[in-house]
Amino acid sequence: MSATEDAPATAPATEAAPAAERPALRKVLAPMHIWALGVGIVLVGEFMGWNFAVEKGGMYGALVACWVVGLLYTCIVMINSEVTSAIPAAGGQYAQAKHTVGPLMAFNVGLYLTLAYTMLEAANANVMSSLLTALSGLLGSEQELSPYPFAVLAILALAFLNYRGVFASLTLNLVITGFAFVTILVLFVGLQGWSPGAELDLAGLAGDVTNSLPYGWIGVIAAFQFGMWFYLGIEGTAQAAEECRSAPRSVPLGSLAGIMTLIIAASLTWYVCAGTLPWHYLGTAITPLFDAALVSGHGVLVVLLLLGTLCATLASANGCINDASRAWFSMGRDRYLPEWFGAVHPRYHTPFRSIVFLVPVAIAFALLPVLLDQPTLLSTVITFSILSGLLMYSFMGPSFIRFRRLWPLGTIPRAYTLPLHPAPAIALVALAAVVFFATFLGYGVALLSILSFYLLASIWFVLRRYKYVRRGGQFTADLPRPQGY
Amino acid sequence: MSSVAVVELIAWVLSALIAGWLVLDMLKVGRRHDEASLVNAPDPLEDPPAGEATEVRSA
Repeated sequence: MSATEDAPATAPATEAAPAAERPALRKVLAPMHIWALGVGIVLVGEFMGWNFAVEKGGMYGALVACWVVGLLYTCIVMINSEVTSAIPAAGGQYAQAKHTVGPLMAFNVGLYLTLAYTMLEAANANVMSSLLTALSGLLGSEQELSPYPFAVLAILALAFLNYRGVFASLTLNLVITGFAFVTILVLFVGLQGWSPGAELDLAGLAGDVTNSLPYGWIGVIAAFQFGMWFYLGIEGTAQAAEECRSAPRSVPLGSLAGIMTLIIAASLTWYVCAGTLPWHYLGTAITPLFDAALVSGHGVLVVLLLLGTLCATLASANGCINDASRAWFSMGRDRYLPEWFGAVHPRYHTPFRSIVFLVPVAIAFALLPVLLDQPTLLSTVITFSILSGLLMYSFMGPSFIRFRRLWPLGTIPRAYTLPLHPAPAIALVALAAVVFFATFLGYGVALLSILSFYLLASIWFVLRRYKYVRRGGQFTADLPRPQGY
Repeated sequence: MSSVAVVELIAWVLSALIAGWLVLDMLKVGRRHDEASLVNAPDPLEDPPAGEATEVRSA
């Protein structure tokens, strides 16, 4: 704990506190917390959202999307593991961009991260309130619950938890994410997934073209944009690097275990849903895993899957608050934003101002679709989140190639070394381009809108904000400075 | 008052309490602590050896 904990300010404002007395983020996290952060943010995508890939590409189209996009995210996780083990800073990809590319790229990446996670958090809160409404209906309530108080309460309660400390918030994520993952396994066991003829009906899948690949290979490519739901957010593990007891160990272990968990969960989810629900229904379902449990007719499975869906939504929102606040905080302490956001709480050692600042933003995004009575606005919010993530992925490949040029193997200690370099980086760029194309097919206007938004933000940064950035203090990694830096 | 209304009221009250606590604590910290001591960014002009800076920020 810092020496300044709860102590009143005695030094005049003009005198900066010595570096050793400044409160820092607390290093308390282990690999299991990193796993919980990464998988927690993503797992909700298994419970809802991925199945729109079935509508675009059919059953097999969704399976191809699941595994090809899984390859994209495996590249991301491996690249993240190497870079983060060398640059373990809050802000994750933002700090990486700051060291490998430059301030403008770093500013954009920081903004992608903040918006992607804040919008995802808002969408989660919105969905959670809808689930509670459905739950009250199942419990026999004749009156419909209002979605406003529960969306607001969920965001505020999770922000409160994050404000009080990272250890408690990510330990909670570990418990509820673990529970949600177990419910998927229980559904597989309950439906006797190992015996396809027992309760699942997979017979027509292989033989019927209209069922498996109804729109051909262009349908498969179109399905990629929703295949991202299986994994979107796993890269957020890098955000917690500065709070790990040993980042070089925790981040690669937690992240790689996370992507393995997700690939297993995604494959099981597809398998169970493909065997229980007709593809026309599955392609438009809101909660496919819960529906699969309903179709099974087992009461225990229904209750478990409803609780699993709720826990996955809660875990995702919790992880998003953690990640968005770290990205915002990092930009603040580097003066890419007002330095006020770069403060650390002297008692709880969290980026408290960033956490509180993003609460009304998330509430606004969560309530707007309800207030304006436009449910499609929710999908726009989610699309903006996905596109922000996609923009970041397209930068990660070139950035990693530059990272290896600046610090070749053998020049710095690496806890994890990416194998087969540069193949994963090139694969990442190629796959990100395909997913961009797929997203353009479905959300061309949204894609152009968000590109315009980031262009305007970049202009603002260059013209109005860059003058405040401490240029000499940007290199914060514990690495040798490359030539010409 | 119906049970649904009671549950919604509880949610609103809890939300208000949490929001109030967050804002009050944030203001309290700002008042009681020197702003320069809260911001977790080393000033390059005050950092003599590079090793000390890495104790505050691991990266």
